[in-house]
Amino acid sequence: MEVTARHEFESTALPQIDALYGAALRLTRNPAEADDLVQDAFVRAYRFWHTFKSGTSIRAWLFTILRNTFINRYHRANRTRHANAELEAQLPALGVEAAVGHPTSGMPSPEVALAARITRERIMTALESVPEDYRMAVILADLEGLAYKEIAEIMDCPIGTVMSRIFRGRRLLHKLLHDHAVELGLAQAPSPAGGDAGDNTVHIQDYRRRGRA
Amino acid sequence: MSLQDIRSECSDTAGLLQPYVDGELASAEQERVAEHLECCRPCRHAVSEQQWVRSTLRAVKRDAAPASLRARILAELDGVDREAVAAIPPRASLWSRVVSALADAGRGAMIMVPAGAVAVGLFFVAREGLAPAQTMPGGLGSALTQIREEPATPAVAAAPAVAAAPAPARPGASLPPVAGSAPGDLQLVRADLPGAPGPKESSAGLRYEIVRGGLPTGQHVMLVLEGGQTSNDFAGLLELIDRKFDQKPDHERDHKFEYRTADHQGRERNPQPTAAP
Repeated sequence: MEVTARHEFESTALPQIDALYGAALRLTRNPAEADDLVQDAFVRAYRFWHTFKSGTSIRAWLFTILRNTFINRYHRANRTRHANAELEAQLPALGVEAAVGHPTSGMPSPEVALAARITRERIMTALESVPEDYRMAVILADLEGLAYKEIAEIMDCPIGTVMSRIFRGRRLLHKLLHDHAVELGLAQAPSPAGGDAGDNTVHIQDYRRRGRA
Repeated sequence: MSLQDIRSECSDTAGLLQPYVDGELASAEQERVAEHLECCRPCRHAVSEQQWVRSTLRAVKRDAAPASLRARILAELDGVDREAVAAIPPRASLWSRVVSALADAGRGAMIMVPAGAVAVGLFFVAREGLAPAQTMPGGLGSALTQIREEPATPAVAAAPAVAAAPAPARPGASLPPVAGSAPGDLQLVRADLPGAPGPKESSAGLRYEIVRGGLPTGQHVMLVLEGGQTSNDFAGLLELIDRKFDQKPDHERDHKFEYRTADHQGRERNPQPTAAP
């Protein structure tokens, strides 16, 4: 390959190595596999460097390659998806509308501070337990700060799907991390009914009462 | 305010909540959602839950890639550079390289290949004549014979999924053009040559880059050898695909090749088979 191409690649693509590695770790859940995945992705990217259009997002381009490499190489081999099915089944059918109609666990604002007290490791473990498509969407949106449009391009799906994957992924994470916070006594346990205790419940009753009126 | 009002107001903004959280709304819409949240606790809760996870994750510091990984990648890139820079050897030795690439198909050549891609493999009859004596003395013929003679194939070792799930053969199908014109991979996974001895099934790790257009209507296909060397000078294999398929007599039309394709970012292409004429 030309010297200039190599130079461009090293100055444009290679600096994204940390971003790709971080995502690869969460995807593979294994440092050795993450190494291999990132290496494969970069080698593929280098071979097809001439197809990268300068002026477009290098991160979106690289993440697309990373994701496809992951799917091709790791996913089909022996990965099982049902491990996470159970987790997901814990939550009722989700959707923005569902959330609007049935807030199950609102997070009062003081709890925002809680984020700092949940360990990084715990957060990563939770993230890794989220189903793959949701995980990927959340990684790209929240760890990498990519826009919906870029994520849609990377994941090869419509923006609406991106939004719902992010929503569901965050929803699951919220449940996992909030449960953890409750364990630690950092947050209030939700009521058995599934809604938060206190004024939230009152509110739902109020809401229904008004509905009947 | 009636329930109907509440519901319609919520459903008006429901689709905007997520982009609101992620700052993907125009400012007017952003304000509209903010106003709605002021007076709608359920929506506010949904939003704060999303915001909480978002800010929690954003606060997490990213893992840095190990320095050893960077070094490994640079070494791999050096390897790619060397292959590309190497002068294209004379044809005879090119073909011996093809043969050795086939023998080593389990290694580098397979790395770029989707392991499970065989699911979209399409077995088709290349309706063209293979005339090694004419175009490629001892070259193409021996390379493809080599393909046939590979027993269960080295590629299998590297990509178990290939061996585990061979694509159903579709003798008689021809390959329609592949949509789009982006470059990509085309991997020959099986070649049957009539008259040649040996097993009917084989697998080879050759990779092709589709330089323009799809297959097989005379487009140009670039061969990518193990390690990424590319050349459009691999006349023999090129002709397998590049030739006008309908110009050969019937008895020369029954060479069968199975291959699978992926675009340059690794997405598999899944060409729909069409019936043979």
